[in-house]
Amino acid sequence: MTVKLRIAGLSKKYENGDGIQDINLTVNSGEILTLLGPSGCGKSTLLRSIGGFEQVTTGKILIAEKDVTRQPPEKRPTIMVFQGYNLWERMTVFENLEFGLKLRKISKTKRKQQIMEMLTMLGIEAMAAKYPQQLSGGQQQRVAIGRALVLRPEILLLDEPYSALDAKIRVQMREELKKIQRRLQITIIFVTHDQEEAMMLSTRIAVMKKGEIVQVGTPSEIYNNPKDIYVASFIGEMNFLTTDDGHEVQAFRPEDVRLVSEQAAGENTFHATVQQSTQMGHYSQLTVKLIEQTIILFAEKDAFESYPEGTEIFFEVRKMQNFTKG
Amino acid sequence: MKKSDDLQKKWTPYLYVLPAFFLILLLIVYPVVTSLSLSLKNKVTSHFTLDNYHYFFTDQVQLGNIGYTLFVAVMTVILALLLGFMLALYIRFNNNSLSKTVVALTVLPQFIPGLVAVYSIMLVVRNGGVLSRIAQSLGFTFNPNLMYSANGLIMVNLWFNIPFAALLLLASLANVRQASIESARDIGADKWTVLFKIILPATYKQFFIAGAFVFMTNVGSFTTPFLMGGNNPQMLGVVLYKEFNQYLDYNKAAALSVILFLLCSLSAIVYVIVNLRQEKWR
Repeated sequence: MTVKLRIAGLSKKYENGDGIQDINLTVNSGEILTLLGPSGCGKSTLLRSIGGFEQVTTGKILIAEKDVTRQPPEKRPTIMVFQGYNLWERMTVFENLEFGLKLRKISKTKRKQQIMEMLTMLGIEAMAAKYPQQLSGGQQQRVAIGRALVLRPEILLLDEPYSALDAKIRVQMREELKKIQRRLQITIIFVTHDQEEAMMLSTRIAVMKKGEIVQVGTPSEIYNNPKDIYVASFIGEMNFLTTDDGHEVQAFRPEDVRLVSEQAAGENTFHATVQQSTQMGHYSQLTVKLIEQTIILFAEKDAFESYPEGTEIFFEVRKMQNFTKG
Repeated sequence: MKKSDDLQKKWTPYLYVLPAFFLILLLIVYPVVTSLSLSLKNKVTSHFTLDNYHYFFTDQVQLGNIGYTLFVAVMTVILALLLGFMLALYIRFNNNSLSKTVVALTVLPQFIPGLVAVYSIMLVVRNGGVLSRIAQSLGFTFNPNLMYSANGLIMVNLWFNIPFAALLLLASLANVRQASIESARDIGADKWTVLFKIILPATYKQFFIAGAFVFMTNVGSFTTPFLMGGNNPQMLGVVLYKEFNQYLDYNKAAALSVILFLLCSLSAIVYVIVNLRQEKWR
């Protein structure tokens, strides 16, 4: 596995104090790495720094082992797909894809061939002569991806590319992106605040908080072994129980529980009252009250019938993690 | 009851429009019509004639005046657009204390009465004025020679019109999304390519609109050429003033008014065409 991107000791400070600091990250060739975090955590700043749109304060960025830290965007082998597509509205779809190829002095016949190949791969070859405003959101998104990919970047940067699309198309676009990525074996860095999107797309996820990377790992590493409360609460559902001394919290996923009878109660078994009981599709969700805290449990599909509101239940937690508070 | 309500509804809009309508009728339509009819009459006999127009288009001095006026106005348009665009580009793409100061200065000329501004500039640039005195105190002789010349007129016109053109162009530059420019840079476009492929296609309309306004105000300008212009050639605004006030030839004055009106219409036509032009990409 070769390293495509290496970031060492990177920081970018804005005048108002916002920014990113102490960023160390390597991205392997052919990987989809997601920068995940809430808005304002610095994920877009990091992506823009990689693309050359931000002058970094300290640190180094190496792409394919070449130092690009001080290079402008047009000199870097990265192409960014911006939030909200950013197509040039005065150019047709074809011209949008052609602009970069022209600048690279590619012959007319070759340009046409490459553009039509790309549009066909994305399923929008019929839109070549249209203007961006005449396309649907999903089609515009495809054009934006095509415009970037036709230039064969070393790294494709995507800045919340699906935030403007509705939920159904978003899921479809994610699958398409994965397919394209597998086919072209391209390296992708993807910014999102949507943990589900990150879980679904990523080879690895870098979780960010207040300008720093908190944890980097595969989706299952992040989900199963979150490093701290922040990561645990950001990815998936997580219940937190404050312990008696108040310095630590016990955390467990709603699916890591088993409903047991009172007789079977042993270690890590809790007694609670059902407050709400809902069928969520292929599983049931029980909202239960445990002393003073409300937590969520997932149970099998029909459990909502067996444990209606007000039922006293016992449940055993099969996997629990302790975190220090704060 | 209902009927009177309906009636009121029907007539209210007319009531709002009426004062403005009568003002336009009284102050614009009536003078235009009388000017037109006056310009087509002989001074003495009041018979129909085209002589008044014939005079302006055959007399060597008057032809010189028309050419001079067009030269000053067109040069002002070209230079104001060019320099105004450079100014607007600077303001749009730099966000520092200098660019903020420049924005403030850009608005300033709109708040200074024209007469005051022209007199102030004359004090500075006339031979023997402030510039000459400074030069003299440094030990050499310098005369700008800007009074009574086209250069001087154009310079003062630019003083008024560069900020105006810059403000109009700045408005259209604000519509060029930063992200459009960034994505062009990203795929390898240098600054010039961004200017010609992204910025100019988005702003060219505003060039015509700003140009039309600058042309219209300068082709019929009076204050500056009256105070700073020479005796020959003269700008048409001054010629008109003299026909009216000194030669008391109202028929020729009327003909010249119509000629000026037609010149302004040229740029009005450009303005309308550009505004109505349908673009493929919309």
